[in-house]
Amino acid sequence: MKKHLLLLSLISTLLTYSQEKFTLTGTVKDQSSLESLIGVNIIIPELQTGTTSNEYGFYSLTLPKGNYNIEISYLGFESIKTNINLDKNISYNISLKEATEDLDEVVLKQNIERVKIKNPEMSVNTLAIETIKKMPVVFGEVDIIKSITLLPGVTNGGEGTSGFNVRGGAADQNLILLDEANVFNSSHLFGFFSVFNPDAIKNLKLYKGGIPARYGGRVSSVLDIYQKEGNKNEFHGSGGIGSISSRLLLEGPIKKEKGSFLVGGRSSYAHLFLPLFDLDNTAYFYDLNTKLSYKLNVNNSLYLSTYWGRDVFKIPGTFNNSFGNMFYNLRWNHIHNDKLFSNLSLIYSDYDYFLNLGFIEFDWTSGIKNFNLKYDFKNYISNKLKLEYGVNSIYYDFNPGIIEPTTQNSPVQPDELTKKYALESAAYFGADYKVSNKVSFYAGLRYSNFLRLGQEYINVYENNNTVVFNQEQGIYETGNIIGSKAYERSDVIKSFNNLEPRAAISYALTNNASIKASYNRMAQYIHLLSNTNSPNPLDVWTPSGEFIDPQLLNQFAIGYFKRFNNTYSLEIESFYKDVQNRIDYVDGADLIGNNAIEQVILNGESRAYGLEILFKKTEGRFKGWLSYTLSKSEQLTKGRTPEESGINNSQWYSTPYDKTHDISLTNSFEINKKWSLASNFIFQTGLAATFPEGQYQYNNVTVPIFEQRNASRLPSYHRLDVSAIYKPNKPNKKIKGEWVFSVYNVYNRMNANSISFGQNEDSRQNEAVKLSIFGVVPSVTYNFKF
Amino acid sequence: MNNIKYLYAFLVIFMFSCEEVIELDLNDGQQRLVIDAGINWEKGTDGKNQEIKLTLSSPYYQNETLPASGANVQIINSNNDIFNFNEINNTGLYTTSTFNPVLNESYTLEIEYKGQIYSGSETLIPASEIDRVEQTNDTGFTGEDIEIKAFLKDLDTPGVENYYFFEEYFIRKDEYIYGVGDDQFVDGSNNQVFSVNFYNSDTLRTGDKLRLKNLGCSKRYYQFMFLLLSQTADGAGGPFSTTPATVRGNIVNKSDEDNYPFGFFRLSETDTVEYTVTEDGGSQEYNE
Repeated sequence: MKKHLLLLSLISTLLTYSQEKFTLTGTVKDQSSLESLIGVNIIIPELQTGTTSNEYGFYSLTLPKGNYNIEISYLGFESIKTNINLDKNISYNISLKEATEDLDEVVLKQNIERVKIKNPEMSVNTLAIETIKKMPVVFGEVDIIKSITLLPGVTNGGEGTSGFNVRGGAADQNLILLDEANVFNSSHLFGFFSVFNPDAIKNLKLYKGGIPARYGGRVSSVLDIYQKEGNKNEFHGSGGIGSISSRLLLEGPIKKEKGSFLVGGRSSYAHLFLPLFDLDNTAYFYDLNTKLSYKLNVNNSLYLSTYWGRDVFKIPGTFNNSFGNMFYNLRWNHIHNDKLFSNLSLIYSDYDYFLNLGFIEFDWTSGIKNFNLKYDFKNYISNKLKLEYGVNSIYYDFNPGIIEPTTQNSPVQPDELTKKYALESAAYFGADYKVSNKVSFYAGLRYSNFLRLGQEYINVYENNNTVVFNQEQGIYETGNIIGSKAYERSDVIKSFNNLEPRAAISYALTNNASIKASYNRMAQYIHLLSNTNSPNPLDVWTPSGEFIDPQLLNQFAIGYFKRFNNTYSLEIESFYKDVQNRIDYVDGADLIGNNAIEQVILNGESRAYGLEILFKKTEGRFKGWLSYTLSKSEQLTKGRTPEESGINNSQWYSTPYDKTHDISLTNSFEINKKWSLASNFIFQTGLAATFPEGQYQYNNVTVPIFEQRNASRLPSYHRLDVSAIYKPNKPNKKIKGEWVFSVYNVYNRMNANSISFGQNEDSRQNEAVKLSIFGVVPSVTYNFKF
Repeated sequence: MNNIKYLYAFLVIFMFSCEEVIELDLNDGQQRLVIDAGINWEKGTDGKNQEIKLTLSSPYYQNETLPASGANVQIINSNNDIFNFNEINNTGLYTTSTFNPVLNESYTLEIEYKGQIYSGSETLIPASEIDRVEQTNDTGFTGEDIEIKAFLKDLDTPGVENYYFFEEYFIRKDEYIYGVGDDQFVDGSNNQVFSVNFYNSDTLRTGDKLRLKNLGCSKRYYQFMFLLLSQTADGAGGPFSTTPATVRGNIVNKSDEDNYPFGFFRLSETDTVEYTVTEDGGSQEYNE
């Protein structure tokens, strides 16, 4: 009898499968600008199923034959409810109309930032640029990186430090993609501002865990940022005048409804006034984003994105320093059929650093270049199954440093540190499968391969020991070089292969609550050499090879997600991760211009674990979130033998960005059509720091004796920021303006950025000196649109 | 090159920040013996008179230095000649008048203190003469600093690792500035190696005297001093500083490994010149 039942269920399954199915496909666009919209919800209420538009606005839904209601919704746009009789494959391009900002009228708004209950995606935060622009910020400079640090699990090393840290990971472990191109340095002015011009950005997505197989190469997080394409209908501009920088962005059609351009520039301008004060010194930054989009036909589109950003500091005759990123990215979107979408990208990007020191009379240049070829496919098999697969290959050219004397009298000898080359390739496959109304999962596998290619020479060490331990004196010394090896560029010095499985599952407890779990393994083959508390622009990237192994991550996360009456949501997640082969530096390691980095590094590991809570209100006049993170981030570098001391006596120590508690409360309130208010409150445990536990006199110098690494903490960090936005707009006016008044650190808390120890110049007494960066900073910014 | 990081710290601090002395409770670590054993053999002298200073480490905020009295201090050369250092009245200062300096000779320092034996070995390193000192006014980051540049007579020897240790003593203010360097970027340079320091023009006045000293320096001493200076320099502990750590010297405790001492046993040939700051700057030669 049981056999019959089984047979019966098999037949019924077959029957359902043989049921006639059709595909609904198309793109989603903003009606006025024809800008494609990412993450638009397309829902079939009858089937409790749906999809979202991809990074290029494409969607595809395969459903059994039938007559369906369709709901299309997106933040800031009017929703569409329509009915479609799906009796054949249908192409349906959707145009959404921007919601009028009339607060009296109830507009049905769906939020892309809203938590996804039934999707296995977790540990992901999406922020619309509109939300970021409302937040109060220092000097009124809208900053993407500073905004994401208000999310749970994201922090940084304090004001004026570059980059950001995700779930206890280092800044160089974040994959930062701007229109799919790698960004190697995300900061201007050593970390005060990020390199992303907010006007040119459409939206961003931060993956902290459960990272899909299409991403790889960094072990901590992925920050995926998309630039706007430009208006295909009309010419428009926007911009702003702020206290530090000013912005201007122009966009418009090249050929109406087919092609568009976008040019966005931003520059600091304080340096323009320096000559007025008879100062020759100059310090400025700028960035320029451009994008060309062209729709060749229904199934083919081309995009060319470029970015140039630079920081310049100049003190005539003494010091000249400039550095920046740039990239070119040519992409071809192709719709093969109503279920298969592909994107081919050809990307060139580089980071370069230039320094001239007048008094030592030399030039220094270093940098990293890479060519990246990516081919990604998205295959919408049915409303239950979605596949993604693709290949990716990156060729790296590392220039660790070239030194040239600038005068005949300079004692500096011309020198070129050994250039390094590598090829990183990957192939991946991932599947999103909706098992039932309650259970969905994602499974993916990435295979990555890293080839360290030939270079001029590599040192050979006695017993392969690049670092030797002097047991008597308790210190690490450089290994004994017994020769060198030379390679051709086509030689492979070392090859690494890794399988990186990714998995995520969600189980819906109710229609509004679910639990999710995820696992990801990732490999990172290139490393930023930095032994300072915060990366600085002089730090160079170096590839894995004979002496440095790839970093390997395992991360587990579980979470509970709940939505309350479409207005509130609660996300609770817990994670654990460990990274093998995290390098650490022996005490006193000099990394700058070091041609044999292997002599000063030791292999270690790092781990982080924590709990994140995010409570959000996503709808209505009052919006905001409360985020709390409880976490620990540590590093361990053991001695290779029991006799060796390792780093910090082979004991775990806190990373410089470890913060036990991290709370932020972010909210905005729309008073009326003209005025809105916003505020942030932040409380964080002070950063881990190393303090002296004694002193002695040597050679007329007072030398502090330091305790174990990062054993103490700076005082707690907290501040409140507020802002008010005023839109004095009369209807039918061509130029729409807004004033943003903000006060950063309202109660002028002198937060410790660092504490340094030294002698008082007059009394010659030892003292502790607290360095604070920003006290209270009021600012006004004017933004306009036409 | 490492100074660039401090320069960034300087720029950052210059632009926005604010510094404030705070009261901060600190832990007290273990008390250790501190050995300041720097043997300087000034060119043109017999180098027989030498001194070694022994002190004890103390809590960070404590002001006075505690002498380490009652130790037996001696230096032994490779011929097993022993040079005894005798303490002057419980001051922790131990002196000799019989030392026999020989370039590139290897010496061992042995100290017995409170029943424990401390020992370290080093070589007497030769040093180049100082050729000239150049003073440039109105330069540096503010455009108002005074730059003092001292050039060495001998060129850097190509193909070998050379290390440099330089001392500048500002007599009126009783202040020492130390610098160490390697030949990483100047190996076999055809031009003269130099030391460069910047002074605030408010501090350094016309007529002020500076005593500049070039000291022979071993690789181990360079590493030691590099680390020590990076942890005591201005900008240390700032945003771009490295995590500080205990700096170990070349002297070990033979009786109890964990009770290691601080300090270093260094032997250097030295060349010292005196420079008087002038109104308009310029150059002064020291060639005999």
